[in-house]
Amino acid sequence: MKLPKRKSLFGFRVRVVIVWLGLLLTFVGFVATFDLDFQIVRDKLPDLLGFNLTVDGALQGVPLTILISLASMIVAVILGLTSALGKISDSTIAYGIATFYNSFFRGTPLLVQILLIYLGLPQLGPVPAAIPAGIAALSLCYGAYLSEIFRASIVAVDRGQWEAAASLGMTRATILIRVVLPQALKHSIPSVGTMFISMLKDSSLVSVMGLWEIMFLAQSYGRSSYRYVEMLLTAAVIYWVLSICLEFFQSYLEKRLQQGVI
Amino acid sequence: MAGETLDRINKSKILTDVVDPSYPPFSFLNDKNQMDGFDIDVAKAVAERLGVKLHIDTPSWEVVTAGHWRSRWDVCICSMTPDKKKAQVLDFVVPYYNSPAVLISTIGNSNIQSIRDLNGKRIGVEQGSSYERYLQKDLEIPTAKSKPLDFPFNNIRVAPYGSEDLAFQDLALGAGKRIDAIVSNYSTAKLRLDKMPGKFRIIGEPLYIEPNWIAIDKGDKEWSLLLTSKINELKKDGTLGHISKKWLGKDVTQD
Amino acid sequence: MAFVELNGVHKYYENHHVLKDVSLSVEAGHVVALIGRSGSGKSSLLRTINGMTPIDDGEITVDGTVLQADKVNPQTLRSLRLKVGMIFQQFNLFPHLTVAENVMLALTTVKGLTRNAAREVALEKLAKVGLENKLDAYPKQLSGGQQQRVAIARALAMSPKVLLCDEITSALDPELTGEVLAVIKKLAEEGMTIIMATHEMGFAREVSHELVFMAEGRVHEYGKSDELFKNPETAELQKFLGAMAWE
Repeated sequence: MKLPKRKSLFGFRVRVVIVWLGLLLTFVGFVATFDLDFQIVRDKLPDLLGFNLTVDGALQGVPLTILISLASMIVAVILGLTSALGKISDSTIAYGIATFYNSFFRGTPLLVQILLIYLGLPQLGPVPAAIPAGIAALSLCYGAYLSEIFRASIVAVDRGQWEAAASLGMTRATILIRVVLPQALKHSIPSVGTMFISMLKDSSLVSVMGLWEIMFLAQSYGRSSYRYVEMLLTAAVIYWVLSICLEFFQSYLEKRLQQGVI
Repeated sequence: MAGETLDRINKSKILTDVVDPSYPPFSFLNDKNQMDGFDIDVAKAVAERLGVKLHIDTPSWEVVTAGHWRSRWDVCICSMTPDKKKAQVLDFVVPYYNSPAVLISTIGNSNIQSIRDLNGKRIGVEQGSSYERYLQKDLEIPTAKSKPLDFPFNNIRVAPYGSEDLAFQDLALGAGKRIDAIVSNYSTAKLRLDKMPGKFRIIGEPLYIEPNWIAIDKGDKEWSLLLTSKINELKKDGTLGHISKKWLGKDVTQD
Repeated sequence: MAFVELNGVHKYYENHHVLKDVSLSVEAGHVVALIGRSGSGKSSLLRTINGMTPIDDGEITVDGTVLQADKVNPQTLRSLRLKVGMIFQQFNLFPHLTVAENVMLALTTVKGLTRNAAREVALEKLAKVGLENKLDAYPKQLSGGQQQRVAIARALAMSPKVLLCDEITSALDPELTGEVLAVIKKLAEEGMTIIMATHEMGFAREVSHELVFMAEGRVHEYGKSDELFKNPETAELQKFLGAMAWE
C-alpha cells in the first residue's frame, strides 16, 4: 500500500531546501570568523582529490579512500551474510564460529584490529601489505556489524513465508535464497547504508600504516603549513560530499526495489 | 637475520626509509607533493653512497616503534631519540645531528625569562616525547659525552598533547589560558616562528641538547656497521653539515 | 487402506497436550471438514499431515508415505510435500515475485522444470482459478480473494493428491469469500481429496463428505457430515452448531 502523497509537494521540498541553505550559511558564517587562509587549500586540493598520483605512482587522497572503502564494503557484506546464516543455523560449529567472530570484531576497537593484522600477522609468517591489511580489518569489523543487521532482517521475515515455501517442498537452502533473503536484504538496505557511511570515515584509520588517504594528507599538509584547521575543514567537507553520494545511491536503490514489497 | 637487509637492498636496488610525514623542517610534503626536508636529504645521500634508489614510507610512529619491521623497511632516518623502551625492539646505529630542546611561550609575556619562572604552571609537550620525560624529570641521554641532566624547576604541570600543533593552537590562545609554555625542538619551533611571526618566542638558552640517532630493526650487525661507516663518511666530507645549514640555518651535526 | 490415515496421534507443545489420541481416515476423493473452536487443535492437526509439525506419538500415512514420531528424514518429508498441498489463512504469497513467478517458483526449484514449461503450468492453473489476466501483477496489487486464489493455484501447480486448507477464508472480507469457496467446490467436484479447517458451516455442509468436530485437542465427533449436521450427537457439537448458526 503506497503512503498518501503529500499535498503541495512543491511547497514542502522548496521549504526544506531553504532550511538547508539557512543552516549551511550559518555554518559558513561561523567558520568565516576563524581567521582562516584558504590559499593552502586551493594549492593542495588536486592532491587531496587524487588528481595526481604520488611520486611512486600510487593512488592517494579520495580515490584511495574510495578504493579501500568499496572493496571493504563488498567483503563485509559477504562476511556479514555468511555469519548471519551461521547464527541461524542448527550446526553448533557454524553457530559457535559466527557468534565468536561477531563478538570479537564488534567488541574491539578497529584501530586495534588493523594493528593486529598489520603487526601481529607477521609474527606467524605472512607479512601483509598496507592496503590488503586495511581492507581485511575494515571488512572483518563491519562484517560483524552487518551480520547482526542481516540476522535481524532474516528473522523479521514473516514465518508464513517459510511455511508456505516448505509446504511446497522447497529445501531450506532454496527457501533462503529465493524467498527469504530477497525480502530480508531489501529491508536491511537503510541500516546497511548507515554502516557504509560510517565505514567511509573509519577508513581514515589505515593512515597508521602509511597509506596516503584523505585524513593522512589533510593532516600532513595541515601540520607542514601550520594551517591545520583549514585542512581539517576541507577534509570534513570532502567526507561530507562522499557521504551524500552514498545516501543518494541508497535512495536510488530503495526506490528501484520498491515494487512488490510493502 | 644478519645480512638480510643488505641482501634485500642489493637485490631490489632500493633503500626503504621511514619518516614522520609531517615534521618540518625534517620531513614534510612539499609543494610537489613529495617528501622533503633534512631527514630526506640525509637519506638521499646515504642511498647515493650505497648506489641504490630511495623509497620513503610513512607509517605511524606507533607502528615504527613497535619494531619487528620484517622486510617492510630498512632504516629509520627519522629524528629518533633513543630510550630504553625503543631499544628493546630497535637498534640505534649512530647519532647524526643534535636537537636543542627549548622553552617557548607567547610574545608579550615578558615575565617569563626561564623555566624557573614556570613553577606551578602548565607546560604543553608532545605525548611520549623526550620533552615530556624531561618535565617529569625522567630523562636520560645515552651518549658518552652527556653530562647528567639537571632539572631546574619544580611543580610543573605537564600537559601532554597528541600532536604538537594542538599544543601550539592552545598556546596561541594566550599564555595562562590553557597552557603557559611549550617545550619542544629548537629546529621545528624556529621554523614555526618564522612561518607565523608575532605569536611566539623562544625563551633563553636551550634546556638540553639531545642527539638524534639513526635506527634500524633489531639484530642486523652487518647493516648497522655499514650505515655507521656511511654516516661517518658524510660527516667527514661535509655533506651532513651542508644539509644541516640548508634546512636548519646552522650545523648541528658535529658531536 | 484409506488415502490419508491418522492413528493415535499425540502432540505436545511445551507441557500443553495439543493433540490427544487423534485417529481418522480420509478416502481418496473425499472432502473432510474440520470444525471446532479456536485452539481446539484443527490447525495443529492439519500441520502434522504435511510434516510441518512433527508428532510425538502415533502414525500418519498419506498415500503410502508414513510419518512417525521419531525424526523424519528429509527425503520422506519432501516426497510427502509433493503429495500434499497447503493453503494458509494469511495467503503467504511471496511479495517480491509476480503472480506467475509465485506459481512457478516451486516448479523450477523443486521439480526442475524449465522456465517455459513452468510458465505453461502456471498459466493453466491460474486460468483454473480465474486469474489468467493477472500473470504479471504483484500480490500487493490484488484483493484478498484474488491473492488466496493465487495461493490455491500455486499449491495446485505441484499436482498434489491431497489439499489441506487452514481456514482459508477467515482473513477475507465476506464479499470475497465466495470466489475462493467456488474454486474449492470446483476442485472437490473434480475429485480432489481435501481436508479443510473452516468456520464456513454452510459451505462445509454443502461440500464435505465427512465432518470432524474437534474440542480440546480430541476428535469429539466424527462421521458423515450430512448426518452430523442434522443430528449432532454430543452436547458440545449441538452447542457449537447452534452458536455458528447465528453467524
